[in-house]
Amino acid sequence: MPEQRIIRNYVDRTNSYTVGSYLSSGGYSALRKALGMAPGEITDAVKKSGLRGRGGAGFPAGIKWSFIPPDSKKPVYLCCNADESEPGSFKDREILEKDPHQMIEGIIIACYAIRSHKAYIYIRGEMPYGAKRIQQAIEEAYEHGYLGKNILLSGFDLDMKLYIGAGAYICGEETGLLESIEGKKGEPRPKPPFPAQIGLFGCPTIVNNVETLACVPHIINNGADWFASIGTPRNTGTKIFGLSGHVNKPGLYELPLGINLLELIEEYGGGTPGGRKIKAVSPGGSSSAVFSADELDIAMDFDTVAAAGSMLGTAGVTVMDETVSMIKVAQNLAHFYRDESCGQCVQCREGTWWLEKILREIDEGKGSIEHLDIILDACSQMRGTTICALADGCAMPIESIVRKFRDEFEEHIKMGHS
Amino acid sequence: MPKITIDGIELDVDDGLNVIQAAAVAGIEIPHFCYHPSLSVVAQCRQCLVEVEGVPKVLPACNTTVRDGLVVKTDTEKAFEARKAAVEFTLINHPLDCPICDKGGECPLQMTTFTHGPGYSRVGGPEDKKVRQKSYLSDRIMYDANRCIMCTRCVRFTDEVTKTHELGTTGRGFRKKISVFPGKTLDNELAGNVIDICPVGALLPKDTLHDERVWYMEFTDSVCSLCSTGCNITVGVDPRKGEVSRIRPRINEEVNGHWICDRGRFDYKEIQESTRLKDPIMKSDKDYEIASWENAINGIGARLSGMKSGDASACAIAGSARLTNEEMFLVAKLSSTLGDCPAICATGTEKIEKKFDLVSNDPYPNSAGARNLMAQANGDYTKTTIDSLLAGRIDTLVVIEADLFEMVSGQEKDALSRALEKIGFLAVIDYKLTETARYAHVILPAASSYEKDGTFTNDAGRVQKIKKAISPPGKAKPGWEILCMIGEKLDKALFSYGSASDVMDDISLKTPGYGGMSYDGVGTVGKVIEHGAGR
Repeated sequence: MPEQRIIRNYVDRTNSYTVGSYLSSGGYSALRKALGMAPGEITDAVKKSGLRGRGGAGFPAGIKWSFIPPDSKKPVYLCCNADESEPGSFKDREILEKDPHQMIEGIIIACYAIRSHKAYIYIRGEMPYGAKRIQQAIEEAYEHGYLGKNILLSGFDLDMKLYIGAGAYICGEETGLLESIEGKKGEPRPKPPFPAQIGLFGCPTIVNNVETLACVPHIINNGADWFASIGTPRNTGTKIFGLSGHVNKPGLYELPLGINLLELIEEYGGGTPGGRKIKAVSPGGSSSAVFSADELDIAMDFDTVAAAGSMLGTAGVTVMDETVSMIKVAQNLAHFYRDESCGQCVQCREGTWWLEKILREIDEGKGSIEHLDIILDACSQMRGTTICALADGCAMPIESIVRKFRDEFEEHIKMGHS
Repeated sequence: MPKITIDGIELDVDDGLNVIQAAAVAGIEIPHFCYHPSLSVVAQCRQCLVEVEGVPKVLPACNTTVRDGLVVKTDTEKAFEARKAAVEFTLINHPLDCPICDKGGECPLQMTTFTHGPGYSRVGGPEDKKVRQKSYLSDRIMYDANRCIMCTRCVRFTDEVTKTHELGTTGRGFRKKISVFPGKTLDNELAGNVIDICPVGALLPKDTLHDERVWYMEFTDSVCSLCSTGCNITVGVDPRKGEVSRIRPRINEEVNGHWICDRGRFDYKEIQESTRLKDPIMKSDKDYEIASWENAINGIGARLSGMKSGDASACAIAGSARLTNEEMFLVAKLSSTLGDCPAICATGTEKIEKKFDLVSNDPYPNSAGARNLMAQANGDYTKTTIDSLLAGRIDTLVVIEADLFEMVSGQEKDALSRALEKIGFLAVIDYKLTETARYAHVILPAASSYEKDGTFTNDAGRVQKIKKAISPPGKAKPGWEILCMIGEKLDKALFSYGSASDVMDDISLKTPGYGGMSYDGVGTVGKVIEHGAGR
């Protein structure tokens, strides 16, 4: 079965990143249509479409937009979160590099809906290629009158600015991102207040993911009902799955939400190299709890994956076959989160350090069985106790690995080898 | 007023309080490190976690504002386990060197560990912890990154209170630490306050490192004497050493909030270490001899008694606004007993400018008191009297806690020396040997402001108590007592006060604005003089 491409429809085209290519495939027609609508109508359409945030949390985008006070005396900002840094996730990168106008059109429409006149695109510092493409696309959009004063003679003004991050995972957290744009260390803010109340420079702000915004022009063009008809009733539209790890055909696959995980791996990913047995799958980026081999017959939508104790997250699916040491996986994860913790909250700053230390010792053959309970204790207290979800993102996969592969850990500890 | 419930206790609390503050109203203490009532809320230490009805996660009490119907539970297993875990996390890389840490015994982290923490470590020993270099944020303040728990109170202090922005955090995660911005040093006038607000022993005064343990110290509530603000302080004395060991701010929202300046904090050493006068000294021919109090007072008494019937303008008393209200009142009384002889006083400016809303440009603690209690304490009168001294018209002079050489201009210093060399009688009462004292016929050793009782009237007209925290060295006595001893030689009944408090009772009867003032009434936070009196 082929992919159901909506967002990825034109990425393989020559010069797909240019405004010319975008226009030739009907680009910016949604903007023209949107500017003829009332801002509230657009928000209602996005609400009706059921579009849920593609950054990981799956929060309904239209509802988020409606949190912006309609009579705000302060300027309203929109920030496009292009800080894609989750290990195992590479879905936004393609949009940024190959079809940036699609996202920019989505941003302009979203800004019109929330009455924002300034948009920021916050791109990860490690994506200079994407940054170059975005910068070029912004300039083209200005040249064609899609940005700037009086866009398409509608009276609507919007400026857009590209902001390049300095290389911190935590700046993908929406309030860490806002701090970073403000020129400060990327340290998430305590919530409340939420960005829609007090966001960038103290003003009402919406932060949306690249893929979320790229969906918006299609919703406007084809209608909310069309979008809602794709996927499942509470998980509408297509989702770009980033398949990696031990699969024969790693890559991006755009499929309706609710696709079966086994089908994704076997049909689209072509199974594992050499037909080796799958040991574990991380279904939604490194922060999601892993599934063991017997949990893979599952619909990949936000609610079903959550009900199974993990999360769809960024839908970056990493397949690990039987050659993988789950101890090394856990240690590698802990090492990543230890280095990326911003260091504000003690559970995260010290917890990630502690987990990394214990897992390294276990891996090196210096572990004890008691360590496993310490890991589970620490993970349980790292969840839901901190300002942002980074500690949860470290604790969830590690906790699931230790629970689901405890035998492997115990055997390794008893053998005492590395 | 929102009605809330905390651990089953229903109470009405003020709007805008957070749950830490509201719980305190109910007598429940929620442990916290990063929250400080005078700083912004950052909810970083995650120690104050509590359960709130209707919310699945535990919430930081500091960032939870009261609202009507709020139900908070601090004592559930879930909340307690979350706080207990927070302590364990905090201690993972904390050195546990409490036995050699100056904060030991008064450390919020140590205390929270006792109430919440595990009694053992699951991390391992010191070799399992990360180790970092100690550094110095200024000449005075040491930073121990190992003990630091990244509460960022110190950073917020420099951002929000002093707005001098010397500090920030560098590094991420477990590498994070407090750093001074390049090219800066933490040397603003209020910098020392970061030592007090540090909830662990990460920020400590360098010069007294390992000198003192809190449980050896006795604390006395007092008021700083180094400027006209009158910051409330506690004076810590180690009775084994018999000296002031430290000065810390005492909260008074009307005066100094939570802070004191670095002079108030550190300069006690200068007073302690200056050349202290310990015995009465009398000049015989050209030599100085240690005398008994009796002989010295008799000497002064005899001289002044002779003046009682003589020319009052040939006699003068000079003080400074370092004197307490009580001492000023006694000086004024002495002057009237001596036929209203001139009584002058060195005071600071009436126009007060304050740095950081705290450090005043008037270096005297009691200029307002001088204006109220020494009717003649104005600049013109002082100038006339000094001129008359320089002209040799004053033959008997009593100087108390003042240095005449600081009251004259540079060109007049020689003339002053000559006048003092020729003067018939000069008595100096002071705690240290001043330039003036070198010309004295009698020197009486006085107590410093840490060694006596009394009150100052600060620049906002607030009368505040200083309290004896430590005995004066040698045979030195408080100024008010010395003045009474001298006064009794002139008129026994007029000067028979049993204590500084008795003098205040008399002040309250005789001085406009001070009506009803008493030591009980002044209490721990002071009492403002009645409107209309000079400030």
